[in-house]
Amino acid sequence: MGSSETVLEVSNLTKVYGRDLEIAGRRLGRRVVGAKDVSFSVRRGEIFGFLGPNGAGKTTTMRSILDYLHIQEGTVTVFGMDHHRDALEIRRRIGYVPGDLSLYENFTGNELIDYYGGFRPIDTEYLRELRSVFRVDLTMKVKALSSGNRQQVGLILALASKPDFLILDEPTSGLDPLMAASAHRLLKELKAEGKTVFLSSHDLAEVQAVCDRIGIIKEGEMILVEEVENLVSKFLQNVRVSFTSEVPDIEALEAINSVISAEVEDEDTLLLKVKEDINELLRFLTNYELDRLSVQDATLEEIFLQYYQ
Amino acid sequence: MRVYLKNLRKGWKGGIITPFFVSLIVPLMAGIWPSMKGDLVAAYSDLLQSPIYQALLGQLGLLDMTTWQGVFYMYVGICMEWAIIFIAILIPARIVAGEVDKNTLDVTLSYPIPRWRYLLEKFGVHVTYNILYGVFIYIFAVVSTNSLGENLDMTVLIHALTGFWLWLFALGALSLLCGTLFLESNRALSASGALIVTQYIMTRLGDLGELSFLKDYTVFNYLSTGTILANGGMPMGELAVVVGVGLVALVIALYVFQKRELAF
Repeated sequence: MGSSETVLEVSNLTKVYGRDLEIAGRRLGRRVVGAKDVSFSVRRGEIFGFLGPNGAGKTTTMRSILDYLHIQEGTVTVFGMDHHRDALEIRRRIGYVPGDLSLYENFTGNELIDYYGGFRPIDTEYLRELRSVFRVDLTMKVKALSSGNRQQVGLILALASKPDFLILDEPTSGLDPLMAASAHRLLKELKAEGKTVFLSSHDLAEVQAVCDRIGIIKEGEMILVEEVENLVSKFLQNVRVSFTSEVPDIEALEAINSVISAEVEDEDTLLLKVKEDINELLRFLTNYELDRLSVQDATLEEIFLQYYQ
Repeated sequence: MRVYLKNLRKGWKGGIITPFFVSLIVPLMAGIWPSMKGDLVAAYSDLLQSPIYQALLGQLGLLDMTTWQGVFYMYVGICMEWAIIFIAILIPARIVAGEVDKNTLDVTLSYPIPRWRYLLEKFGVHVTYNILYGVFIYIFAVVSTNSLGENLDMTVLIHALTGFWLWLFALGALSLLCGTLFLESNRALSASGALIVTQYIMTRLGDLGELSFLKDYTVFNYLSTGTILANGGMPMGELAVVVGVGLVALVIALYVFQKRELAF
């Protein structure tokens, strides 16, 4: 892949907060690893989902990309520019919705659009479309808006300039399903126009619906980067097998490398979770007389839980 | 100038109301001045001979309390000193720390504006509204002096009010620096409070005589109303010291905010 196709390149990013400090037996400081050796890239025109539970390092990674945090090791480039040295130039081309979104309470939505529009020019045509999609009253002061409506204002602000690269930390948090669906549609439209989206979310159905690839971070380390399509078809499958006579031992099934778990559904039916290659299991099953066999792709949620258990 | 102009417009209520109320000390003094003249002022003048009061009032205690000018500068001087202490501690330290508390910097700093410029424009709003203390006091002083039929040297008054404004600038810049260093309201306010109140105490202790060297290290020692009155105008050397302290603190604050990590 040529570098011109890569919008975000994160290489060996390491961020450590604080340091261990103990004086006279009292712990005064603690070293916390926020992100460790994180590497991944996001290509132009893709929606990249960033998954992980609270405290896994998602926000640390995002804030490091934005140059809010100073990383100890590694490099981050956005549009081929260094995230620290060229921070201003990069910010001309990005839109950002933070996870814990806070806006100036005494400003109305329109005032915020006008205020921030002075820093990054607004695409007035697109803003008109955003106003019709999001049903928040932009003449109201932020302090009078519900959290869902504030989130809508945050999304309008991030999208209004139609930036080349969007960094969205839980962008649909607090939105009702209708608004969330509208936001997903907008993201897909932007993707179709060649814009790039890097989003974190706890809503795995959302990630599965909009993302092309995902990265899973666990305890500060990136443990998986994969196409969503491959992940749900290849990485984990639910296999239900009914036997006409003899049922194999659970231990024997679990001894197969690709079988993650096996449980009895009823007397002659077993439920298996199989990772990656199913052939070894199929070869094993040829020793038995089968009544029925069904294979289903696992949901992203099941895959995610698999990585975290 | 977008940050400056927008915040100037949004902050007009607090920016105008506070200076207006502080300036009401002038018509208040004008209201009681006619009944103070004579015996009451003489008794008051005797009271001010006490070393404690002399220390508390500094050079303001040396003013001629039998004249409107003396009373005016003593009360306005004391009132403004205290107002400046509170304003300088509370407002500039929270320019950054307040935004960190409310988490509003996250969105703002994702836009292409240098952090130093953002901070400079927000501090500029504070400095601009501080001009209103001088404006309101001047207007009230002119009206009150004329209605009383008394005399007040207006040129010296302008210099004294400029001195207050420069104190607000220099102490405000020190407070702003505390905000950028600590990034959190409670710690920033504690630091700026300690820095400014310590200077004030050092100035007052210095006025006792034996510890006069302490005054040299405080902003309050330079461009004080008493010095401006005694000098009959602006002492340029002292002006350079106050402006210099303010500029150095401001530049350091801008540098710190530009360079520091926003880990909150």
